[in-house]
Amino acid sequence: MPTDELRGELTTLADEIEPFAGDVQAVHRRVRSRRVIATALVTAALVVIVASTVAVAGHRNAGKVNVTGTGSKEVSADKMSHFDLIVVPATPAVQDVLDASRLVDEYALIPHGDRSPPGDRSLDSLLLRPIDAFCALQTRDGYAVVAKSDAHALAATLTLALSGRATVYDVPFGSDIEFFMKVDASRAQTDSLRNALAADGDVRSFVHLSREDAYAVFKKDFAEQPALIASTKASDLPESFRVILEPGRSIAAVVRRYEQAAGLDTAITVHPEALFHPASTPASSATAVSPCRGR
Amino acid sequence: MSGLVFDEFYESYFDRVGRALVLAGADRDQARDAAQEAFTRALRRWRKVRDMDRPDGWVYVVAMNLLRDKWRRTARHGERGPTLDGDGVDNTSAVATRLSVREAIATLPPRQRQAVVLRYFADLPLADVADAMGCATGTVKATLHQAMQSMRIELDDTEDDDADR
Repeated sequence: MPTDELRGELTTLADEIEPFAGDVQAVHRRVRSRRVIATALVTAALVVIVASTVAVAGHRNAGKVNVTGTGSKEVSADKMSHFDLIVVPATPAVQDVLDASRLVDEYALIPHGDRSPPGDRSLDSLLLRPIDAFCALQTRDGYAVVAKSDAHALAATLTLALSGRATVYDVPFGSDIEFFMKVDASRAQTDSLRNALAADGDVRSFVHLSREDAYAVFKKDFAEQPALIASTKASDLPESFRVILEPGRSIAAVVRRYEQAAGLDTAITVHPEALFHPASTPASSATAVSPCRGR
Repeated sequence: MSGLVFDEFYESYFDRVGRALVLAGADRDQARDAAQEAFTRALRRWRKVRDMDRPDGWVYVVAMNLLRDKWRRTARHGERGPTLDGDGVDNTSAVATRLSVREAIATLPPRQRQAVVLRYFADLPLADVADAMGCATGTVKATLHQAMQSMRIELDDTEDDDADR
């Protein structure tokens, strides 16, 4: 029997299967309750980015890098689950240094573009705005870099090695988790997780996002789908905790630790998708408050 | 496809993806869950997915991966291969030849069955099947070939070499 007949038989078999009644609203609800992590990386990074612009001058030779000769470590962005540093700009000279450094595990190109958060005041105050890296990335490509082991040592080494040629932005906590509470989680359950995180030695810091914070992010994520926004209220969205781990701690271990917590819906580990796919909208849209003004 | 609306896409393909997963060996609950989750992920990155040549192909690949993860986690899959003659399939209406194909498919090892369904039911290009199976296209060809041999189906020579139908 030739393959065309197989196709036909498979279709016939499939036709005998009882139909699946879809529920597209359930998909919308599920996305709502998780919201979109696409911009979470941006906001998480906004919280944590510390620009290490020190030591730009001098010690030009002190940052001698170790050549391993293993060829390019550049990977495509979708292969990256997290990153430790941002280096701007992306030039062949920078690439050479990254390829040569024994401390670099891999890196990916970050296309330039606008990643400014919505001009929402409450969100602004919530997210500290040490966003030199994002401002630099508005006009120039950069690299997201993953350290082999010690991100801080790598930051120091690269800062010296690239002195005068590029700026190294230390994102001290490349690992990140967002814990989403169930929409109907009780105040006590939320407080309980908050206390547990505060006492957790693996957790460097965390931010609590209220339903209103979530709604602000949601509106941004779904700006292209006004019907979805119109049908959603802040009270439809869950509270969440954005968690920054101490360097080198296992994301998976921390997620497992809390997966049975009362009132917890899901834990999402941040994928830097938004970083690698900047919005095409220019920063100067009517309502946006440009975070890079005056920088 | 840039004007593709998610809700319409969902209505067009949800049932078909669910059926494909049942053909691949899932029970109805597993198929529904995996399909629903795959569509959820599609909505979350809809701007990217809708512009693909085959948005449905993306969903098939994700759903099949979810299904395999599920099987791996429950480990039930290893003990008792998924069957095709469960509640989902109405045996009474099957004619003899169809029954033989059904039996032939049902006896395939899971990976071969998944490859066959993705390739010949979902009609995915070999490269996408390889993505869904987490292996090289050459491996997919070999897997399909084995499946065809054990089902005694002649693989069209042209098809075998056609990497991107």
